Amino acid sequence: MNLVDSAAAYFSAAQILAVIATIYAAVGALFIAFKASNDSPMLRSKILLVIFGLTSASWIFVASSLAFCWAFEDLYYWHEASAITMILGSSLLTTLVVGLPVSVLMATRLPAFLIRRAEKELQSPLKSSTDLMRALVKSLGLSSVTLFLSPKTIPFAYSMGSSKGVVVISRGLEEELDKEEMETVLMHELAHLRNNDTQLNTLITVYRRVLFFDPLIRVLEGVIHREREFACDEVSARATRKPMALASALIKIHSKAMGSRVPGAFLAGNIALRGDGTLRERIDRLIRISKEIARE
Amino acid sequence: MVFGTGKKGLEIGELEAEVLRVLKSMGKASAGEMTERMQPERRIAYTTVSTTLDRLFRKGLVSRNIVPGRKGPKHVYSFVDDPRIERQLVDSAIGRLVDAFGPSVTSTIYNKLNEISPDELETLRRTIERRRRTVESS
Repeated sequence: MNLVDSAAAYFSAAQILAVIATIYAAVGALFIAFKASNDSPMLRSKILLVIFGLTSASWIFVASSLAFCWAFEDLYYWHEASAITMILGSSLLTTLVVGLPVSVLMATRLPAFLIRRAEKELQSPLKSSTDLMRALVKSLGLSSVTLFLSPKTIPFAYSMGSSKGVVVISRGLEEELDKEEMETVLMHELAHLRNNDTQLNTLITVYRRVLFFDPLIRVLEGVIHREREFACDEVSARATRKPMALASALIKIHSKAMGSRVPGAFLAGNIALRGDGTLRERIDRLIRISKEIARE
Repeated sequence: MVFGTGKKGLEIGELEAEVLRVLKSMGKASAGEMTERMQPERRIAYTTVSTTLDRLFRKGLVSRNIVPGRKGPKHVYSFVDDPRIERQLVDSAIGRLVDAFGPSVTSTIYNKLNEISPDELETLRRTIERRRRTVESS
């Protein structure tokens, strides 16, 4: 029996088909829940993340199954049914025992490494920005966030890490925005930090690279990113009570920075936009929030 | 860029598009009137305009009536506003692009449609500015 035969016997066994069917059923149910939860971007992105996790995990499961089919090939001669159960068990265990810790390690270590590398090229921002930042950090209850300045003239802002993270703004942003706009942009970045978006971006980016052949992952990445931006906009708009200042900042950043690559922002929660459709939607949402605030 | 009129039939070139645009803005016009209208912007001969109009007529994109003029009867053209023709034109243009570049071209088209025009951006900016001044000025 070679690998092709043993894999064919394995993947057509009832238990394996049941596992795969369960995963698809779960993804389907989550998709329906996603469709129904129209109002809360945070909930929507959480649902998407579970779908993303299931998709990635199912690929790890398939890969480890194949590896075990190859390793346990001889077991088939002994007893086919127990060989299949054995491979199934080992693969599920591998998916959990290897997939989870590796993901957690990646999500926590990689951003920290990138922060250390990025810090070397960054400078200190204006005192007004630092003071503003200190007040905002306190109001969100984050432990310590450092603000850095990038000497670039295109306006952008991004954040890396979690509650002990860094926020980077560019000289262009300081020049372009007034105080209230800056406040809302910093708050948006702090919301990224509080939501652990750097870790998520890291995981998503790594899995997207590894599972380059799965189109679902790529679609999920885009949608998750959108929902996360909406969520951070909402946090910022409600905390500062200045949704229109944020909208105004988004327009300014969009007009100056669209299409340019933000240096150092790889994996970071980034205020710059991917696609004009998202900008339109974000501004629509901010106007809606502004009306809600006005009614209160 | 001039697209040939191959066996797919309904395709439209740059000059034809220009003539169609001018005719649409005028509503109804003869080849002479069209030439006069187009002259200031581009050097174009009466015969070119009249041939183009004739070609558009054969494609069913414009209709024409014969009316008596000073130098004998002439054609007066009018724009045919038919969504089916529009659809057919768009279909054949997209079909041609997909033939040339593969299905990935549809995502480019989608991005293009999603783009914010400078006008729209300006309108958005003004709406936000107004609201910001009135609601968030405290």
